[in-house]
Amino acid sequence: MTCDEAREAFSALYDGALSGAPLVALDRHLEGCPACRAEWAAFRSAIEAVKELGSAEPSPGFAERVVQQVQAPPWWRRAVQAIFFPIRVKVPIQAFALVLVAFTAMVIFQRSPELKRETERLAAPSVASAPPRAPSASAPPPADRGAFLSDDAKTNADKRAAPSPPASVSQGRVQAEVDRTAPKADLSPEQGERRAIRAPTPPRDEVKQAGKLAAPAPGGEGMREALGKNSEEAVRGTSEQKVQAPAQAPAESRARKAPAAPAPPAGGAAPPMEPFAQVPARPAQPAPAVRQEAPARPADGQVATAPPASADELYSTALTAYARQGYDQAITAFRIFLLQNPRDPRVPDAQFWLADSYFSQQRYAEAIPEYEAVVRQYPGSRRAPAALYRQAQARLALGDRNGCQSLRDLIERFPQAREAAQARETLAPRCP
Amino acid sequence: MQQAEVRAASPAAEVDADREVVALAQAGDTAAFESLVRRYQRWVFTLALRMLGDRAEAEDVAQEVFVKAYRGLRDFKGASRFSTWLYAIASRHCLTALQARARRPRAYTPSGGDSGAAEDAPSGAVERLPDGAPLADAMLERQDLARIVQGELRQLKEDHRVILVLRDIQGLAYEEIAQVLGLEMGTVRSRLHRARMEMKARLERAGVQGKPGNAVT
Repeated sequence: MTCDEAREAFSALYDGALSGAPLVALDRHLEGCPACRAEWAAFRSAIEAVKELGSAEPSPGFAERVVQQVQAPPWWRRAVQAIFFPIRVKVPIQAFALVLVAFTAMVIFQRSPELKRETERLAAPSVASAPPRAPSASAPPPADRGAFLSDDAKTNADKRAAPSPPASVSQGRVQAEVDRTAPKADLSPEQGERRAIRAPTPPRDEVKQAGKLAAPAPGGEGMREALGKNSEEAVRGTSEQKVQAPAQAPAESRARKAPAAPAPPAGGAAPPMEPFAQVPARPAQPAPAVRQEAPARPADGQVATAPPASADELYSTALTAYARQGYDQAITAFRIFLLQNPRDPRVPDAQFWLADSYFSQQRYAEAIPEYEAVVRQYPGSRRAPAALYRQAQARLALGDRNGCQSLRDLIERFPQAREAAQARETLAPRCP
Repeated sequence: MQQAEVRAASPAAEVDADREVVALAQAGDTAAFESLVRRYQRWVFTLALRMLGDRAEAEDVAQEVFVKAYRGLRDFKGASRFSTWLYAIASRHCLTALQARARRPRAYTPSGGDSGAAEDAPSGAVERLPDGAPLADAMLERQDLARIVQGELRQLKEDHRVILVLRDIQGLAYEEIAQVLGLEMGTVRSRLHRARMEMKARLERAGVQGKPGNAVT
């Protein structure tokens, strides 16, 4: 038997599919061929490594979500339900919105002398009796006023769509983090709404997910300016709901395609296709949507509702959350631990695991400063080499060539560390 | 949507443990369908996760697989086992999802393209409270190794990847793999061997050491 023939039979040998003369021949060949023995060992190792990946469970509530999706009515029926149902609530609101729009248009017209003059000019007798009035610099045509409104509204929409600031170890931002990750189920709907309004503004792509809700917002902002303070109350619910709806978008994307008819039987979830005019009636409903999201991820945010009493409990809770890949919960718990126990000997570890919780979610931009904190503040801790290595990985993942410098720093500062050996192996192919 | 029946390599009289539940689900019993989902969700999700390497995408794909199965349930006539039929839908859908994703731009991820950070922990993950640094270090090492292996797995061609996952992670027999993928037995054997050899070469290049004690026979 040649080496090629022997190696071609490795799979059959591994799966126990060889017998008789072929098996005997292969055994004899392996006994006499060290190279093929090494190849056989490597072959087995590779398969064992793949097997070690093992199986995995989807997130809790998976089966329920599947059943909800298969039971969901067709898209066109959902659209009709979303637009018109419940009739006794939505239709009056839509009628009121139409009246409001008409009233607003009338008020704008009444307060715009340029519009009135233009209307009068068009309604005037024939041209010969009145000279044409050219538009002056002080009387911009209606298009400019509309452009002014949409520019202003666009600025406001951009502000709302600004990415949330990176978290850092500070009391105020920890509270925002806890607010964002804590379940809303323990709050009343009004509290949940106010809490959601205070949440950090989501990134632009999450605003886009809110779909049509984002589009009417410019109109809402312009309307407030046009009507002045007297009408502010009338539109406050609308604009506040606009802020809330994007904050819901993360909840909706995490609900894994949950249909438009969630657990609350009134169909209260806020699907992206909801027109803004229905929004004032919905303050009580988004909280149930968030509440629905909370059971799907019971591990997230639990810490914020019942913080452990002692440092040991808090640290254990945080590390357990990390081990079970409840990274958001782990982040919250590690931050609280660091705030409450600044002199605890486990602070460098907690700071490292905090950074790793971001890294494990591929939130590299947020992980980098946290790893930096480990290296800068605790250079003598056992976590410093690993933190420097992870920092390098995160930077390279973002396309930042400073990651190569981080690897060189690691080799120079911690030459004996295990991570230094890994850094040397990584440097050559990635950092010429 | 018509779901193609999987080519049956075994007699129709083969015992199917799901037969009664499937019949109820076909009759419109949602609870019966939900029990089928619970029974197979781990299998389907594992296939999607190992094929795609990303938990979020894997959940979406797994959900779509079951929705497809539900909608095609009336076309399932029992010529094969329900599990084989479901596995075939799952495999095809995962391959379709990979092709769709290949058309979209992908962000760079560390360790050669894996998104191991978003994955499940390796099998045998910590079941009790971690009580100190050594345990956490071991956990970190295993997660690193899993990330590398998953990353190399994702570098395989799709047809090699799916057959490797079906055999060495899901533990399907050659015959069932042939049914699920619609291949001849000879093709299954040769393709599996090539997939394993390629994986071996990749892991050697990545410097991954196998488990200790792999004695040569």
